[in-house]
Amino acid sequence: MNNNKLERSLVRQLKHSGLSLEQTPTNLNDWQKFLVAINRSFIGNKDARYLLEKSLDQSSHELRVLYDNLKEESEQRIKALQQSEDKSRFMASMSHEIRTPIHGILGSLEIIKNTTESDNKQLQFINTAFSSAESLLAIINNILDFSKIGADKIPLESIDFNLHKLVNDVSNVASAMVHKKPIKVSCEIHSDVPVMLNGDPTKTRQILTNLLSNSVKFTHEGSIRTQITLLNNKNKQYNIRISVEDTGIGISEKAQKNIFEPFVQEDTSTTRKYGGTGLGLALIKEFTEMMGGEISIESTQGNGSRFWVDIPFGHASEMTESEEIAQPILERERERESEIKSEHKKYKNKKEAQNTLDQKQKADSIDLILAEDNPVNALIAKTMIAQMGLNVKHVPNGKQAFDEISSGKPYKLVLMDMHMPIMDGYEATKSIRQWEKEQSTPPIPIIAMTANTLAGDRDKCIASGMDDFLPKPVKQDYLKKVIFEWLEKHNQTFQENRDNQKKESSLASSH
Amino acid sequence: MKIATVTYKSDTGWSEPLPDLDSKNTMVLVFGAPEFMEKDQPFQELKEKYSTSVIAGCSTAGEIYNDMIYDNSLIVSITKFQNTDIRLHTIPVISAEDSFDAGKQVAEGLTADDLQSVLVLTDGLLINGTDFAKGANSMLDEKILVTGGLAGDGGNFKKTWILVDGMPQTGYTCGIGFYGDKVKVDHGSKGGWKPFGPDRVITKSENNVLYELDGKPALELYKGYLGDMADGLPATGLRYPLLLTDEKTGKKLVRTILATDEEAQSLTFAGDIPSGNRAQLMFATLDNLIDGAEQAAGMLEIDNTIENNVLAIAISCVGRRMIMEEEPGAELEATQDLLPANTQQVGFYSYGELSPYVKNGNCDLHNQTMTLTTIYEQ
Repeated sequence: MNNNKLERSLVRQLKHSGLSLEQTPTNLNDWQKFLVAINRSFIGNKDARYLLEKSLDQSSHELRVLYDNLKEESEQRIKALQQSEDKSRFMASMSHEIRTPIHGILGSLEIIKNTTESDNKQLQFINTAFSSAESLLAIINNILDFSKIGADKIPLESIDFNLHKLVNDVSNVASAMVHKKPIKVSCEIHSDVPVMLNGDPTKTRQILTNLLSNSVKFTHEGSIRTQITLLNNKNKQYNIRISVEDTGIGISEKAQKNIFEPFVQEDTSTTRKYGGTGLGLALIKEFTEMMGGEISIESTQGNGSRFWVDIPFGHASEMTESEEIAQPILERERERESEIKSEHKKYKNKKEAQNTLDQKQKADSIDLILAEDNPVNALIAKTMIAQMGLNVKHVPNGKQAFDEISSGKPYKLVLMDMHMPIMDGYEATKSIRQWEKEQSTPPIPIIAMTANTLAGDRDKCIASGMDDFLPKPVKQDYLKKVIFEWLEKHNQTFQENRDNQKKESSLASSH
Repeated sequence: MKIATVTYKSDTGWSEPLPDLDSKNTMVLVFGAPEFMEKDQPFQELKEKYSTSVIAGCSTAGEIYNDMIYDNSLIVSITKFQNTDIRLHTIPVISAEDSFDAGKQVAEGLTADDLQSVLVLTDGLLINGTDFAKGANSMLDEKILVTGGLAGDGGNFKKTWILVDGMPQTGYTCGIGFYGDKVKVDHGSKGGWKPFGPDRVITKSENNVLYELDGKPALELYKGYLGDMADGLPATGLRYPLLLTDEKTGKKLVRTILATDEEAQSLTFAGDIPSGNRAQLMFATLDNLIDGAEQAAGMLEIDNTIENNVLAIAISCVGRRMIMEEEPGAELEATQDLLPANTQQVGFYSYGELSPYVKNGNCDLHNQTMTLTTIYEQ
């Protein structure tokens, strides 16, 4: 209450009591009436004060409770978040743990296939074991990807890549997957679809691979048709439709509604009959949406399905020289993969191939370091390398690999596993590169070998100073191709270096 | 325009002989104690004396004459207009559900091109004032001022009356229309209550019963904030009404507590408590209420230096009377001081006031206000 109001009520009380400010009260009754009125105002104000204090008290209490509740809630949320992170980490390491022995199986089978004489029946078993282990690996990889999606750990790549090649590659793989089923696998890329695009090739490949392997799985006869069309080209984006149509068992209308949910298949009998984790479509959807695209389905039960994704891709930057040179490692890797295939055909006659290799290898005295902590993987790699006629030194951790290099022995290449005790692959590489810098020694090629097949892992390897990347499980042909390629490069550098040194020394002596 | 006011008491009769002001332009307003329901005599006399006049009135929780409050009396104000037509329209009300229609019908019966304003007196217990106001608004242009009040019965909340054909009857509502361009009707309405504590969202309510604020039991919250002051509930509830704010329109209304229910943890109010509105507790000291009455008078656009005869109808809430019982008439003194010299202030303590929240707004039901209506001829 401000002074003005207080004064007004005083005047009012005086008037009400029959008094005035100008005159001394003569009537005691009037005076008493005035005092009573003043007292009432006082009591009124006292009550008001009580209420305000009480309300302040109550409000602070409520605020405190609110604060406590909020605090508790946010703590719980943080805890839940941590738990979910722990879970993802656990899933990731579990998948890694499971993959390592699968790699062991795959590697061993490959060696058996290539080195031992087996009759047709045995070969069939070996092939079955091989493809079973490969399916297992695909499932594990899907689980790992999915756990990473949940933890928002999958980065989106934005690089130039050859879409036509990617589609043809995947389609070829699908043709191979069909085996003996009477299915015609076709692939059409419309002429207006650009060859080079900018986007995430890894995820695009996974989307198409998953769509095709679903079609292969659920189609018994008829056809599987892949179609790539350009929907439009606006806002510096190509909207590309990737469509896979099959004549398979189809999906009921009811099941179409939640077919993209993780772990959902049409029904449990589907799972029993066709297997699978039900993660494939969920992953496709996640990846499509990550890339800003949309997935759609059209299917009649018993009458085939058509899945299509519409994805916006960026324009590839201009490529003046050979596209291959400008292409990133990933693309190079894939191209190599197909080259290996053709090479593989060329070397159908194993002995002939072996002879060619032997001649090549005996010319040089080659020493490799293999840093690998897992004895099974090490044995497989050692066997594969020995079959190439190369000498390899195996060390169980990065520290020993570094010690070997820094001892000054003339090693020519390092195969480096990433996850190792004492010193991991990244750290070992960094140390080696540092040592080389200090010693002014030309850098030795370091090839990463890891089961971490995500795009980010590749970047991490290159960033730590490695030259190339071999995804596990390592295929023998591929390993050979990469090793020889880098050995050749190393020889060239070595030669150039020696020439330079010669020049320098001759220059020095001429002075 | 001539105004004369006389009073009547059962034991002493009329304070002075009834003046000769009967005409078809004469309005006889009667505000009386509830017990006159059973006493025909004075009404018969009024009917005889003012046979051509408009006679309207209602029972009260205290009759107002200038700065005095009377009980057990009749206050009769006789106003003879010179250039103003007046018309009365009375409608029966059986239950609260009829309220909207009653408001609509009263307004409908008075509508005319030259209608300036409407003074409404309604049964105080059988009507939902909120709906009644809505009904009246539905028929009338916003520029037609509607003011008035709900009849009282001395704080007993049992039976109120309205004059129907000059005689007191329960279950009715009436409106007096003022026509022509000479009559000036103005209004002012304020409470003087102070909101305190946080304002909360009404999360559960039904008509005039409030169950939850911010999802918490309303009575528990109410008591928590009043502390010792909550001891005398519901009687003391009159002292701590609720401020309602309509989030959309920003309109603020005050609602008085009529009853509490410990079991349901609910509070019953003298008007609707719409869910989604915001609610805040209020209190007032005697001085605050007097300030409120002054503010109501301050809202009037009337020039208080005019020498015209002015009839001021003061309708104040019964709750205010209870708080001010130690200084009765203080708020009437305050309003009278701000009115023109030739003003006769009559009126009553009511169970709800009707008037717009702001100038030129729609009529609303109010609780706990001093609502002034001034009428004079230019």
